[in-house]
Amino acid sequence: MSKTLLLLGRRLAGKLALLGALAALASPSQAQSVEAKVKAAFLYNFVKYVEWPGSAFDSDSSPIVIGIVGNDSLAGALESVVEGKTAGGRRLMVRHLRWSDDLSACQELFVPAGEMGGAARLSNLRGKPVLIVGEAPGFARKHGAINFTVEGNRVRFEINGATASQGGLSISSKLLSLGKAPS
Amino acid sequence: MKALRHPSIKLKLTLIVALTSTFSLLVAAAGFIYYDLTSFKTKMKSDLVTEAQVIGANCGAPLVFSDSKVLYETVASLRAQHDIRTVAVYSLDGKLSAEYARLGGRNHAPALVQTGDTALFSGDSLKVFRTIYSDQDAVGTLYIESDLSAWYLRRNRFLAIVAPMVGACVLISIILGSRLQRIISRPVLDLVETTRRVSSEKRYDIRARKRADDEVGQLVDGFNAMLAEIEDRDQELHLINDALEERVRSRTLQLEEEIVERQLAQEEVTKSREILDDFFENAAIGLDLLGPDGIIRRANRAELEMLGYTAEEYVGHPARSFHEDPTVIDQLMDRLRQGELITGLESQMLSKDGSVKYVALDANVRWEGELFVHVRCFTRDLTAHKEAERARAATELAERSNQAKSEFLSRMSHELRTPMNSILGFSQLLELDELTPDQIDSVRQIIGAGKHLLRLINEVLDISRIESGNLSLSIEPVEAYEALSQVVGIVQPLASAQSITIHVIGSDAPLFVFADGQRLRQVLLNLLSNAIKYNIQAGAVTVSIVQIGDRLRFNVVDTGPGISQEKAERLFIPFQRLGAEATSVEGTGLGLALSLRLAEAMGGTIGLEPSQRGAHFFLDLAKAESPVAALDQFAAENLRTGAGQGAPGALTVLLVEDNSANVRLVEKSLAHFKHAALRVATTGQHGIEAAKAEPPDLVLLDLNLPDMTGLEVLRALRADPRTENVPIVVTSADASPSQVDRLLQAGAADYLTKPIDIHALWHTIERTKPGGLKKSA
Repeated sequence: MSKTLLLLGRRLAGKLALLGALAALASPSQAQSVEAKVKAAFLYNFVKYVEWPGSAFDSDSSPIVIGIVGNDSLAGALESVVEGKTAGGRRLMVRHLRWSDDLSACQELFVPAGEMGGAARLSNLRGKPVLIVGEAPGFARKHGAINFTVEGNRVRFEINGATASQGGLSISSKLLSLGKAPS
Repeated sequence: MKALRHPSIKLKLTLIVALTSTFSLLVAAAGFIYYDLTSFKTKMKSDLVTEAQVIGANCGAPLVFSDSKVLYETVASLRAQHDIRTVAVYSLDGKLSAEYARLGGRNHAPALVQTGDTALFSGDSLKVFRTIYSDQDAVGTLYIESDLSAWYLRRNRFLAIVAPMVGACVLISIILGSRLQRIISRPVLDLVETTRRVSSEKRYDIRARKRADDEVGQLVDGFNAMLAEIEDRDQELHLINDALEERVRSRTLQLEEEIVERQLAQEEVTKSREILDDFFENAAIGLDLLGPDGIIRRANRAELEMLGYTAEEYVGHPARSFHEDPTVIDQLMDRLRQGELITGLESQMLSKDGSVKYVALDANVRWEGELFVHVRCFTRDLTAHKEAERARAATELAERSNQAKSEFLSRMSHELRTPMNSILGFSQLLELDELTPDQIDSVRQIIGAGKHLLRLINEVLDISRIESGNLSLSIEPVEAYEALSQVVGIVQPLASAQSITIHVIGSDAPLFVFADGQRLRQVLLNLLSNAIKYNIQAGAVTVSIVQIGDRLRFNVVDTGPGISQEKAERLFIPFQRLGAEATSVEGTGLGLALSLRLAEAMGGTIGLEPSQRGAHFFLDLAKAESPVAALDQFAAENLRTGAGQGAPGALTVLLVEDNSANVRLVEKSLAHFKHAALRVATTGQHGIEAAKAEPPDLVLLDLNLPDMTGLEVLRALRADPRTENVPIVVTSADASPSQVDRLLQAGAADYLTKPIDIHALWHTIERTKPGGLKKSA
């Protein structure tokens, strides 16, 4: 079980790295695709460095739900990344949401740049154990905990420690040290 | 070299201690180091693994979020650790994601060769591979390579600490060992030294020193006990040895003594046997051994030489066959068998040359119990003895008859002189009577014959005295010319009767000879008489005195017919008148014989010198020194007168002496005395007459006087009452002690030896006439 997982993980990691490398060299379209893949991998990896309180789940067997607002191209990449993956003994699940859906039903919520219109609704999630990730400038300072940035060809991220730890979330110091302060 | 090949116990002990301690220290140090370095390696490994875990954990996030910067910072966080060479992160597909390489050297990361968690030492490096997880997913591999400098450093530090420690330990162990080994070695060496001394000095009284009560101490005890035992046994052995040596020595000594004794005994036996054999062989008398059968078994040299036989001719033959009368031996054997001893049995033996030997036999038997072994026979040769006896008897007879003849002649001459004096005296008286010419002629014949007979008798008397040794001579210095001139004076009338001239040649210097003055004159008278008698008419006689060496020679040469050689040989034989019997010359035939004997009696000789013509006789006598060196010329005539010179009342001495030299000596001696008066008489008769006529105070009487002996004079003076009390001192040149005794018994007051010593004379005069002498002023 663990071996299979390990091999799977490795393959995935290898793909990710490959994607990272491709992202740096690809054309704009290609680059958009690579970027999505890298962000999908990041989104998966963030789960590993965050601990949710027990109250965030309905039961012990409840999966970790990664919600994506809208119908972003990233969703497909994310689904392929998390497929069959677990974290902290919980399955990973990708859910497509609309702003009108109960956003608090997921543990990680990605707000793509094209869905920023409903960002005001994010205030409803204050104090709720949901890790909110965006990709718009100033997102981490205004709305969520983590915000993707692109520096050159590389995907980086900002992290707002204060907002990140809302609702009883515990962010790994490693993640905190990797993310930049929000601008 | 030797110390190394044959190390001493000291060295061995030291080496053992040093090696043991060094080895154990080395083992301990090696073990400790090994343990430490091994555990250090393990620690290094675990440390690095831990490091890798930490780094790996930190690398997960940067790796998954592709934060190469952070990843680098993460891996480079090890730069503070200088032993880290390389830190590298590989992604899952083996791509190098981050690398830290220490400056210098080829420290860049190698290509990923391995995945999984591994830690291994490879060469001089420690390599750790660590899978990097992101949550539970393996996302890459961490590679850390560390060099072993810490380990080397630690090792070197250990070595740096341990090596000097080991060195110090070796040194200390050597020092300690060399000191501590004495605990073991000293007693052992003591023991060795003791053993060496025991064996080299052969002394068993040495004891090893005990230092401790350990095993060596027990060994020393055991050794000492052994030594004591050896010493005891040695001493015992020595004692036994000494005793044995002493026994051997004493036995050897005893044996040597015995050997020497035996040798001596053997030598003695041999020697005594030799002596006995020698004695037997060289005995001065004949010795022989006869068997019981009378066979000669052995004979000595004297026996054989006596008879002239060889041993073969004599030994083994019957003894009786060598005797003129064999029954002598038969009887001898018979007597011996009956146990008799034979002594002095005379027999006559037959020698080889046929002559007869007179022998005396002594014989006895060697008996061994009843067994008649042999006869010891001693043969004395009496032949020589018998012959000698005969010869002696003949000689004795001859001597007796000769002596009888001399005595007879002496007595006869003496007895004949008395009647001859009467015959001559009365014949001379008869001649004075008135007689016829015929009668006168007869008387003269009687007188001539009588004188001749008297002279003959005197000469015979002299010869017989000389031959019987009764002639007494008074040898003293006599003046030769005086004697000669006296004789010339005597023969002068005879020479004149024949017209013969006598020449006396010589000096007037006094020459002295040792002679009896009277006998000298007699000899000279004979020679001169002969020279005159046997001379030609009107011939000449030459007499001279010459000195030849220490002798004086009187030469008497005549002019007669001379004497032939063959006659000269018989010249001095008595009664040989050499043909003069036929001449008219009368002689007794005794003159020259008597002269020769007299000359020889005075130590001189008479001889005949060969001469061309005439006869040349000489008389040699020993030359004498003058008894009175410086002598005044003294007239002999005066002395002979006997006239007294002394004044009345003075001490008168009568000297009866015929030798003028002696007269002068006494005269000189007495001249020193004022009151001494000397009278001299030259003959005995004159002396007696002078003494009777006028008795002197003292008479000095010479024993040898021309006419009578001094003893006769002495007796005559003692017999006369006028002179019986006059002291008479006898003087002589050669009186024997018995003669002196006889003189003293006959009444002589004293005796003086001539030449008269003046002091002795004074002394004698003083003693015989006390106060009679006074020394002249």
